[in-house]
Parts: sequence; C-alpha cells; structure tokens
Amino acid sequence: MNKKQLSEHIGNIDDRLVQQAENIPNYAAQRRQRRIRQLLTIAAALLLMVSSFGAGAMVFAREVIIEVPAEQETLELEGIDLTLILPDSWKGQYSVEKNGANYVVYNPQIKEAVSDGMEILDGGVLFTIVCYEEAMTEEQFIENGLDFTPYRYLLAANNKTYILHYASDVQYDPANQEQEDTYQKMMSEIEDIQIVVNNLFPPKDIAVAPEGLVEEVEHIGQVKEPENEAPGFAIYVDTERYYTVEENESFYIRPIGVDENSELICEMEIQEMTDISWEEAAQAIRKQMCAGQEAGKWDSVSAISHDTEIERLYFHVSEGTAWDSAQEEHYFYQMDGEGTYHIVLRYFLEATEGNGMRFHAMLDTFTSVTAQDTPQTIPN
Amino acid sequence: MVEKPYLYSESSFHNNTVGETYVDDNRIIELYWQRKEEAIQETSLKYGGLCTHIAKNILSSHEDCEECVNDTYFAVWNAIPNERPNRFSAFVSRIARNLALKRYEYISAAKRNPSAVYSLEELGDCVSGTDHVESEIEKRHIETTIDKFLWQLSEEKRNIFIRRYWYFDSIKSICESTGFTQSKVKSMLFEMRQKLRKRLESEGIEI
Repeated sequence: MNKKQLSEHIGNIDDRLVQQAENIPNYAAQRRQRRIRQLLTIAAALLLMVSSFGAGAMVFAREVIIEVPAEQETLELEGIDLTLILPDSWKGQYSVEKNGANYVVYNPQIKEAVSDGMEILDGGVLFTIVCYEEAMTEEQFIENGLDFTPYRYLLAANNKTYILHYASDVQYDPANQEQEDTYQKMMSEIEDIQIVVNNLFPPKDIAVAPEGLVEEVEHIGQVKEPENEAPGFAIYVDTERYYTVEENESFYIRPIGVDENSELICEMEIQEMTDISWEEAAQAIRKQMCAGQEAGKWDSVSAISHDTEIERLYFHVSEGTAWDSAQEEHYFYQMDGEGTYHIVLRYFLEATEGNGMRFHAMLDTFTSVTAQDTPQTIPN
Repeated sequence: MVEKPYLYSESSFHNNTVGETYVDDNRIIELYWQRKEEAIQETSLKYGGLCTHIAKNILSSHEDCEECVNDTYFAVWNAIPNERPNRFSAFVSRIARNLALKRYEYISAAKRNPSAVYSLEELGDCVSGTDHVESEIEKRHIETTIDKFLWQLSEEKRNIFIRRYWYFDSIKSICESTGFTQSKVKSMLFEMRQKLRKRLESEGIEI
C-alpha cells in the first residue's frame, strides 16, 4: 500500500468519526480543570483504599493517609498515567525528557554546565522512570538482576513494571560546590516525591459467555470523572466490539460496525438522574413503559425486582416474541448522595445471547466513582 | 426547523455571525430533493466555511480553493437525489476533501499546501509504499480495520488523528485547538501511526 491509498482509506472512515472531530475542545484546559478539581478535593486528606491492578499485576494492600497541598508542582507523565507531585522548591529547577518509553528528569542548569548536550543521560540527571515490558513483583525485579542502581519500585500493571531509578554516576561538576549542593539537595528530596496513579481501571480480561460459549475478553475501563458534587462512574467495555459515545447527556455503548440506521437497535445507555432516589426513578420509568404498553408499543412490562447481589433495581420490557422484537432491560443503581444511575440495555430478541450477554458482562462491572476514589498515590 | 446558533469564532468552521441560525440539515436535504437552488445557498451558508477550511488545508491557491468549494456544491447537488445522507456535514466535507485531493494530484508542488504534503508524508510511516491494486473486498477490510482502530482510541487521540489525516490540519493548528504542545501532538501522532501500522499488519493487510 502507498500513502496515497492509505489517505483515501482514511477519507472513507465512518461519518460519525468525521463529525465528532469537526469541532474539538481545548483538551489541555479540560485536563487542567480536572487536575485542579482533583487536587482540591484531596487537599485535606486522601484515604487510600486497597487497590488491585488487574490480571497478573500486583496489589497495594496498604492504607495510607497523605496530605497534598492544593497547589503543588506536579508533573504528568503521558501514556503511563502517573502524576508526580514534586517538592515546590523544584520549580524551575527540573526538566523532563521522554526517552522511548522512559522519562528522564534532570536539572537543566547542571546539565548545560557539565554536558555537551548530545546525550540525554550525560549530566544533571536526577532520576529516570523506566518502563519494563513485563509485570514483575519487586522480588522478581531483584531476581532478574535489574536492581543495578538504587531504585524505587512504583507499580506493575498491564504487563509493564514502572521503576524509578536514581542516577548512578556523578552528574555534576565536583569542583563546583554550588552545583554539588543544589544537586545533592534535590537528590535528597526525591524520596519525598508523591507518585499518583491516575488510572484506577486498567484493562482486564472478563469471562463472557455469548451463545453459551465462555471466552475471556479484554475489557478497557471507561471512566466518567466526578464533576462538582456529582459522582462519576466507571464501566469496563469490550472495545474490540463496542465504542462509547456521549450524546444528549447520556453515555452510550454501541456495537462497532453496525449500520446506525438499522431499526434493530443494540445499545447500552447510562443516564445520570440527579435528585431522585432509585425507587422513585424505577417507578417513574416503569410508569412510562406501562403507558407505552397501553398504547400498544410494548407487549409486556415486568414488575420491579431488587437484585441484592449487585444492589440494584430492575425491570424488563418486551415488544414480543418475534426474532426482531425489541427488548429493554432497565437497571437502577444508587448514586453516592441523592441520585440514580438509570442504565438501559436495548437489543432485539435474537441478540439476547450475543449482544445481550456481552452487555451484561459489561454492566456487571459498573461502579460509581467519587472524587475520593481518584487519584491514588503510591506509598513512598 | 432551525438549529441553535453557533457563535462565530476563529475555530468555528461555520460562516454565520452571532444571532443567525441555520436551516436544519434535513430541511437542506429536502431542498435538494425538491431541486431548489436555495439548497446550495443554505449549504454554502452553513458549511461553506468547513469546506473552505478543508480545501485550504490541501491547496494553497485561493482560486483553487474557491473552485473546489464550488465544485463541492455541484457535486452535492448531483449526488443528493440518489442519496439521503444521515450526517450531512460529513457528507459535504468528504466531497470537498476528495475534490481537493484530486486537484492536489495534478497541480504543481508550489500550489500544494505544505500541511497536506507533510500529513501525507507522515502516513508513509504506516505503509511500505509499494503500489498494490486493492480489490473492493480488500478496501472494505482496510477501511473497517481503520474504523475499529480509531473507535478504540481515546476521544482525544482519535480526534487529533482525524484532524491531522482527514482534515489535513497543520500541527500548529491542532495545538491551537487542543492546547497541547507541538511535541506532545507530534508524539501522539507518531505513536498512533505506529499502532495503526501494527494493526493493519495484524489484520493480514498488505501494507
């Protein structure tokens, strides 16, 4: 294939993709706002709970309380979802360079004074965050002989291990006392750096049984972050088969590659209903469905049931028993505080064992996310 | 009938100013079906800015852009009685893109917008560059693979990719819209090109 052909193929992508990209927001500003909100929320104290990092990964089963001042020098490392909260005194005294999958943090003034600028690791280096392409416990990391420099074990997740390696060689001019003092002071402060894991929902394999056949399918955590007083939510999505989109203040999960004009609708809709309890919400929605039944739209509307295993209310609506008759399952989850998540699974009867089962596997991972749940910090 | 007005800004592709409203897309399509020339006026009013933006990203000459946009309206005029596009803006802009790229093929290098030249060059990372005639089935498979690849990216990355390789926006313009630094956008695009190449290969597509 040549690049012109590829460009033509890109030209034929899904219209929805083209339309979505028509007007793009200022993502950097959005991120900054999110970060400020998070830091303000955890300004007083942050109670960290037990967290696990998916299949084959480690568990940080420690409960720690840390204090994070609202205004801090922070450094976000893209791609590895880590934020470093640096000592305030580092302001203007450090730079970061990405070196492959790794990040090198150095003092630019010292680097400029002692190096020829050709090599990234040849002066002023304070530490490097190295990403190893394998999930290792700290013991395995040592067994593999990778502890060749002083280090700080950060985490293992998604078949990768992140280690903070301290600089090993002399990175300053020993004849320059001022340089040495600055460097040594910064080195001594490295242990005070807080490292925050931004992604609480790393990918994981979930057992799904479409058409009765069990398969392990990788699901990716999709998070709607808490906003103002309202909590957010997280749900694992099989992104090989489904895409997510926000429309009219609802969050939808729909199959990839299905004709959007098809009358055979398959989708999951997550709607936040604030200021209404789950019982009231369930009754109100069911009343609407019953009105639809009287008008001939629905064949049956079940009573509201309480699922105590997952703690949710639900009822089922059916258009009939023909292969293409519409089915809707309405679920109601309590929000933290006053409010309800109303989740609807829509599919047609013949898709019950396919999309229906896959929707259920995703739905079972649904969880409310509060500001206290995120971010997480790795203990020193 | 009418949609809520967009506020005019530099980043907006639409033509109207504060307070004006647009005719609904379905109504415009209906006008095309009724063969009313008003359809072209409404298209121009609502999507002229978007078409010009795309044409300008590909062609550097003002005259070429203008002709391309006018050709787009006529192409839409000819196409619509047979079609009823669901997403009219994407439909119109795709025609503008295709026409601008056709023109790009036969004009001199000086008349090509460097943004499109670099954008196409970058796509070279994803393919071997060999000429290979693709069957319709192969084309469909490739396009489905690209669709899936894009849907699986985060919204941020997906939109940046599309702005660069569909709309041919310059890196500078993407940075202005997203607030990201040039190095960040470049590294995101680089990473996505590598991933796309791997995905095409893993799908058995001859790259």
